This record gives sequence, structure tokens and C-alpha cells, in this order.
Amino acid sequence: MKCEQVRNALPILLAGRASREERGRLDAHLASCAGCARHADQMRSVWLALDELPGTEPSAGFDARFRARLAAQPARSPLLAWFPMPVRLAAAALVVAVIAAWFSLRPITGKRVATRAQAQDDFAVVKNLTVLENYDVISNFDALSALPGAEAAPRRME
Amino acid sequence: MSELQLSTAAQVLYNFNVISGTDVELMLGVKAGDEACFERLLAKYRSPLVSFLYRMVRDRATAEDLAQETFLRVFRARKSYAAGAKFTTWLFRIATNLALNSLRDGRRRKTELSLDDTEAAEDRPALEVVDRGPAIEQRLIDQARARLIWAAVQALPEKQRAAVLLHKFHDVGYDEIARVLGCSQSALKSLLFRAYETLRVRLAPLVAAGTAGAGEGKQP
Repeated sequence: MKCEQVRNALPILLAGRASREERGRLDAHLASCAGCARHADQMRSVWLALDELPGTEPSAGFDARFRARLAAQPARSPLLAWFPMPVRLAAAALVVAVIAAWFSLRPITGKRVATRAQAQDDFAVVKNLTVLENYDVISNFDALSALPGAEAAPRRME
Repeated sequence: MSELQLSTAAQVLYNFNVISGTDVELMLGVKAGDEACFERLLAKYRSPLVSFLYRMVRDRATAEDLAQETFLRVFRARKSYAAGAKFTTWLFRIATNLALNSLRDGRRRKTELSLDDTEAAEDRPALEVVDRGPAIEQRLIDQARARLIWAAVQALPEKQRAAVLLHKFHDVGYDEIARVLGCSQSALKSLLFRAYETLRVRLAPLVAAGTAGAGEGKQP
């Protein structure tokens, strides 16, 4: 065994979880390698020092507080409780997929159709207003002069 | 016989292998709605779980809160429990994840409050030690030793800390620790090796004393 392998295996040996065969090989190496033997001694000291790390017992009110928290858990619907979690998730995904499909594939009806037709008519009217292309026609249009107040306007300007 | 065959008489080991034989049955009982089965699991595991969490977060109230949350999650997930999964692996995996999240949240809060802490520390009165002879001296030495061990363990990266605590105090095999931490067995071996090496360096004063003592014992 190489020194690196032995040092890597020390935690297993310390915990007493090495197999008999593995322990034999490790012991043989430690007996012949002073460096690894010293390293193993130090690791054993660390292992023993960790015994001084205190644990703790649950306090007297632990169970009572836990039962209160358990009682505060929201009750699940008895109908849903019959189905395991994967089935519930699959059902939820199916509902979402159906709603999404309905929104994307629903037919164009009623108001939306009317709005589109109206827009097409307006566009045709604007497109055919060729009279706006000739300013002279508009400026010499007699009908505009005949409008009430048309003569008064220049006077106010003066 | 190896010198490393240590006596574990001083340790309180929670040997899951001894008591987990019926855990699957109990959990199947919980799954079927038997509350008494859940009570038995709670009675079995609340102590080891609180101890593990206390050593992880070093705060008793937080440890108890996390242990309760672990049991609540087990109860909530009882319907999805698969009999093939070892109960303790499941239990400690939930507990470890909760502890890691709590430590991360705590670190974030600590960073936010560190400036306030510094200011508050300046206002704190200095500790006064009343001299009562050798007894208090020994107690102070023990306290310093305990503080050094705590600090060395707390300074480990969280995943390494969890691995060491499960390995040292809960008599859990490599395969189970690896499943709890969600890593391969070879990754766990490397993780544990690095963790114990770090502890060996950080606990050098204690290790040197222990080794010197051991060496003296071996001299003819």
C-alpha cells in the first residue's frame, strides 16, 4: 500500500469500518512506515478530541411545540389525497396545457372580426383621397369661401 | 491489533443499523395513516437529529426548529415514501439540506449585520474573571480547549462538517453518508480526508499534546 492510500483510509479505520483484510494491510504499512504511523497517531488524537464536541437533548417543550406545528398544517383535500404526487402534478400540467391551447387556437369571432373589417374600409377611403395631392384645388375651392365667417377672418388678422 | 481500534465507550453512538430494521415498516404505517407509527419514529430520532443539527448550527433553538421542520417534511411527504429507500438516509438528507440552507441564510444575515456587531462589541464590558484557584484555572483550560474544538469544526466548509459529524457521531457508513450528501463514495472519501486533515492542522496544539502523551506511553 502507498502512503497516500493509507492516509486516505485512516477515517475508515478510525470509525472501525475497515474490513479485516483492509485493516491487516493498513496495520502492516503502519508498522513499517514511521511517517504514516505518526500521522495515524495525530489523526487518532483528532478523533478523540471530537468526542468533546457536545451534543444536546431536545428541550422539554419539543414534542408539544412539534404537535402544535403539525396541527397547524393545512389539511389536504380528501379527494386529492387519493392520488399520489406524480399523478397530481401530471393533472396540473394537463390543465395548464389545455388552457394554453384554447387561448392560442380559439377562433376569431364577433367584435374582433368587425374591428378588422372597419380598419380595412378606413384604409380604402384614405387611399382614395387623391384630391389632397393637389393643394391648388383646395385653395381655390369656392365652397370654402362661401362658408360663414370666411370673410371676417382676414379682417381679424389685420 | 491496530492501535487505531478505538474504544467508543465514551461516545454516545446512535447506531441506526440496530434500530432501523423496523423503520420501513413504521414509515409504511405512517403512509397508511397510523399516527402511532409516526410517534415512534419521532421518539427514536428526535435526539440524534437535534444533536446532529446542534453540532451543525451551534444554536439549540435553531437546531430544534430545524429538527421539527425535518419531521414535518417527513410527515407531509409520507404518501410518496418508497419502501426501498432507507429511512435514516431520507431523514438525514432532509435535515442536512435544511441545516445548509439555514447556515447560508445566517451567513447572509451576519454579513448584513457585521458593521452593527462591531459597533456593539466596542460597547460591551470586558469579561471579568474572578480568581478562585486551580479549579477555575482548570475550567478555563477546558473551556479554551472546547472553544478550539468548536471553532475548528465550525470553520470546516458546511458539507465537510456534515460529513464529519455523520461519520463521527452517528455511525453511518460511507454509502449512506454519500447518499445523504448527494455525492459519490469516492467524492465522500476525498471530502472526509480533506476535512480530517484540516482538523489535524487546526487542532495542532491538542494533537501535539495527545501524540506526545501517546509517544511517552510507548517508550520503554
